[in-house]
Amino acid sequence: MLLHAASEKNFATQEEEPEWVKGWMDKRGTPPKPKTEEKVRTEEEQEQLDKNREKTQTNRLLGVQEGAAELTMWLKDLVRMGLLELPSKNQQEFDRMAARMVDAKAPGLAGWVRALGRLNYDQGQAWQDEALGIISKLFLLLSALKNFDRLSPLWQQTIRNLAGWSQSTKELLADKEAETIKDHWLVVGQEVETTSEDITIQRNWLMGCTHNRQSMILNFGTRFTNIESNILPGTIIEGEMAFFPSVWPQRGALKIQRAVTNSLPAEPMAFETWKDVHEYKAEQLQVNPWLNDIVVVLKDALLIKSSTSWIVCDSSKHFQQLPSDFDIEKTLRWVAISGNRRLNMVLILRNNVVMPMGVFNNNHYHLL
Amino acid sequence: MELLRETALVGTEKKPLDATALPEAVKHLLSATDPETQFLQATTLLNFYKQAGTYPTAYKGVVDEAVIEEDKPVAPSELLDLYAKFGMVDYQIRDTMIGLWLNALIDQSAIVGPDILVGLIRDGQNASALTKAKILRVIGNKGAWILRNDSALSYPVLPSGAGSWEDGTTHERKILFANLHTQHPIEAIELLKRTWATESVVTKKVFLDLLKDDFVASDVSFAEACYNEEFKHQPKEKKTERECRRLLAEMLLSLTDTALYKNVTAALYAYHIKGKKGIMGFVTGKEAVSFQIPASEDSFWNAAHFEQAFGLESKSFDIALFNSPQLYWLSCLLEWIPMSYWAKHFDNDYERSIDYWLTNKDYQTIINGEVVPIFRKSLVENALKHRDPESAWILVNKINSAEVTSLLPVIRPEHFEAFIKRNKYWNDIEFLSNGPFSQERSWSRAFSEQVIEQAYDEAMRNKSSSHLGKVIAQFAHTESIDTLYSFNEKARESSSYNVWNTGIFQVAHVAMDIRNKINAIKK
Repeated sequence: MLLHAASEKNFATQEEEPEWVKGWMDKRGTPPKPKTEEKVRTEEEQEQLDKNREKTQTNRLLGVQEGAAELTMWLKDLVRMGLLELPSKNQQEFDRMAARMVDAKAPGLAGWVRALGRLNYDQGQAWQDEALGIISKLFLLLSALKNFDRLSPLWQQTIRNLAGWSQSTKELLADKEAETIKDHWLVVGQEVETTSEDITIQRNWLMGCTHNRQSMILNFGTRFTNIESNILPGTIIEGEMAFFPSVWPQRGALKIQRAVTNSLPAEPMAFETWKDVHEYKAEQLQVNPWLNDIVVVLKDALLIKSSTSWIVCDSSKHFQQLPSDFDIEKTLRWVAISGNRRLNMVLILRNNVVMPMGVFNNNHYHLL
Repeated sequence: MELLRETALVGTEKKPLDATALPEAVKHLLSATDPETQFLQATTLLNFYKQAGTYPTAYKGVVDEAVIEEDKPVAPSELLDLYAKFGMVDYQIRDTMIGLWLNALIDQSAIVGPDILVGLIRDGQNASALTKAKILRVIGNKGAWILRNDSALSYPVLPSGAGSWEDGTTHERKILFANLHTQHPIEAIELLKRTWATESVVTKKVFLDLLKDDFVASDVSFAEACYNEEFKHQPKEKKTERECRRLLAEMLLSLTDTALYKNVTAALYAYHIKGKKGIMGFVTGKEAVSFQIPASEDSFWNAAHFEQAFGLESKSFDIALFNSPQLYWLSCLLEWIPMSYWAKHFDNDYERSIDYWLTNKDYQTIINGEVVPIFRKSLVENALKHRDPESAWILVNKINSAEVTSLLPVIRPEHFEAFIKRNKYWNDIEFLSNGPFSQERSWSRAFSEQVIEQAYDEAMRNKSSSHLGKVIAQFAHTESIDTLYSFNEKARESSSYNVWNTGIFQVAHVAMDIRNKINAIKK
């Protein structure tokens, strides 16, 4: 506090807390106020409010762009010195740069830096390709931020999300213009991850049985607030999904939920082979080069234990690798369900690996 | 791509990127002039170029397409659904409860469904060897595949059953043999014979030791062949070979139809002496009987015979108990030959027979100033070995030692309940949990209700322990659950409710409820 008083400007302050913090603060704050009628603003007041909001957004963008410029310099230094320096770099160096990005209100950029620091540098040369992959995507994002003003509004929105602007589910659900799709949404899988900042991220992947659209519902929790989610993996939710605007709308929120069942109205469309999946992925990367966690269904898939790891083989014997840290229990569950029969399998394509989520058998979806 | 990697690793300062070597499609998109930005542009473009252009590779190995078929049906869902409830059962009795549930599955010749298969195998890793053996019988062929392919799962059994008997470790084969022998003794012996000739004498002893604990009539021919040929006394034999003969003699003497039993009991007949009626004889009308070992060695009671016939030495015995090798040998025979033979000489009166061996002055010694019957241990072992409820009950009433607890599982249920009532052992966990009861054989309803009532009284005196709750959970008659609930209602009004609730009620009612459901499904 003394340091803060002495040099306040050295401390980064966040104008707007993340949505989950707001929610938590609201819950534990003052007792609920009696509902009063919403204040009706005059045209002048509304104009002022819009101006303030725009100014805040502009200031934030400037801050992020400054951070992006700093990170570009850091990246260039890294390239100048060579990636062989990476394994010997102190973890604190990555953390420090990530913190600078958080200060610049670009937590999305901080995530890429941390990912670079978290690579497994002890595992042969695999880290070199992974590092190059991260650097490529990060550099592309930094370039996009540099040219932000020249982008279309939808692209600007997409880049903002990638840089770490928080998206409000509340606002999405209130937005009448937001894209919505009615379908039977199959919850194909769930992943829960706890970050180094003790934030729990729950990712739910859903597939529309009729329209074959995919969606990801994100939920957040902290040490103090549990994740409030009524999404049960393996179930089918009949409802209306709203999508956050993006060049490749992926993240969504359930706007209307009519019923939850276990019976499948129709199986989502399946790709015949890995080649078809690959072509689909390449097409989608043209739309959004940062695209990750794509949900696909592969027809007649077989899990095979190869000498070093597990692979997913299609009917033409082409295969994709499972992550080295993939939960073996899921592969065993596949054996229990399928008895080594080829079944249509739901997979998440993440970076250069695939993660099996479940299989269709006798018109039922079985979670792995 | 290799050029790019080299530059990436050593840095643009040492090795600037040679843009001329890049693909045309990438080259013409590079706009930067400084080497670092140019490299970053190139690596970004190439990364997507590579991602889009690299097709999935074909698997070079052989794809095993063999479908794992099951030859048993999946159990009904009401039985499988119970598995989810075991999480609520106290962890100390969970293994027992799961064993009960597994028994129900085994009785129905059914297997578990795919939804719980992996979970059951995982949970079973920390279970007892008995539960593991049961799990192996309900996981079907898919479960067997999983065990074969996940080395992290520690099920000490042969991966594919009898098929790979030759490849298993001795420990794995021991478990397989013991399990198989319990269910199919003839098959187990055939399996043993498959490799018998090539086994070491030490391994042979290991399997004979196992066989001794579960010896049945169908094993006799194998045991007799071993006894008469392979382990027949040799002038220069190994210690282990002699020990094998002892094990075989013990087995063969335990069954009344074997040649050894007939020969030995015929020889022993001569040493049972029936005397004139004494004063007691006149009172009881029964003839006095004694067993007399000859003062000097004869054709039966001599060191060579006992070594050659039974593998017993004339040394290395407890000299505090036995003052001659003959008494030690007799103690072994008393242990091995069923009580029905010894009682025959006392007009088939077990109590007289046991009394004789316990109280005869010739068979007593003094240790630490206390009179000790030298054959007590043999008599207890005899009752346990032959699972003889009559001998066990007589001994329970005659001896006063820690050996009583070991005899309780052998006595009849009504005797056990009488023993607890007579001695007021209502809260003695050691006795209560050691009766002749199993997962499927509970206390009588009346006895269960008495135990619950006594547990309630103890709880109201703030003296209850969760161990008692666990014993009730496992052994109380399932129909006594109503009594448990009614005492629970009564206890709610008491300040000691917490003691009752946590120590007894919570532990007992979950398990009793599951047992009730299993019973209902079985019916």
